[in-house]
Amino acid sequence: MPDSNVSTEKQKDLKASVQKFASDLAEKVESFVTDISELEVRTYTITEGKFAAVLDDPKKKNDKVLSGEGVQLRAYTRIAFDSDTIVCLPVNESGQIDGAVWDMHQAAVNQALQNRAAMLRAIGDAAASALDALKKSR
Amino acid sequence: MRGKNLPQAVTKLVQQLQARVQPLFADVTSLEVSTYGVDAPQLASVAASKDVTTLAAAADAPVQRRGYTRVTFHCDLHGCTEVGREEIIEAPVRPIHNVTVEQALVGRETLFVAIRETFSGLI
Repeated sequence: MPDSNVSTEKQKDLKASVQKFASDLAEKVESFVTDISELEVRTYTITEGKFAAVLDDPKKKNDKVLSGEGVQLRAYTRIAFDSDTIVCLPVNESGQIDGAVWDMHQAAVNQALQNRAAMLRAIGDAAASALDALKKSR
Repeated sequence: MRGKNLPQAVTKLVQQLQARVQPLFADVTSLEVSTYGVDAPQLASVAASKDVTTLAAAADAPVQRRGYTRVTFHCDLHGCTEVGREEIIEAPVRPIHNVTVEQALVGRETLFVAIRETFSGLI
């Protein structure tokens, strides 16, 4: 019957999709713990007028660290998986801490921490759902 | 075409998470927060260093520790309780340092809750 052929085809497609999703997810899951084991936040200032030149350079799109004319690192935070934290802030020539961008940096660190927890939950949920779908598709 | 095996990958994920989390639930465990002041032109190279602590210990280092806090916890099956805190903080960095300590404590707790939820969803 043509109807049942269509239905069988659709089921095959669905099964293949579930398996493809499971396989893609498995790849992500494998490197996930390494990816979240250390969190780094850098806050930069960029000289006015140089913003586009620095951020839109296609050669630097995937760079983890910003560089270029007018780019200055102003605050840096590193958080280990166990939450041990180091903060580095610049000091001026008279030894005073330059905390001008601190509030902004602090907000970014907070966001990064929230994102790490949310990512962990999301990957856990996705893995649990995919495992369930895999069982049902067999 | 054979792709990655999800059940195996999830098992590995749970094992890796467990290995990371177990030391954090040892009887006595601690959290350390350090705030460093860095000569402004050197900040990028210090941030690139994997071991800032060792860098700061060197003579004439461009980086100096200005604040340090170590919070000690006692942990059991029900969770962790703070049992001690030692700190040396220079006055000018105190507000910045204290905010970071509180943030690290909250971040630690949030991560624990997320890990617990992930475990219960997968096991």
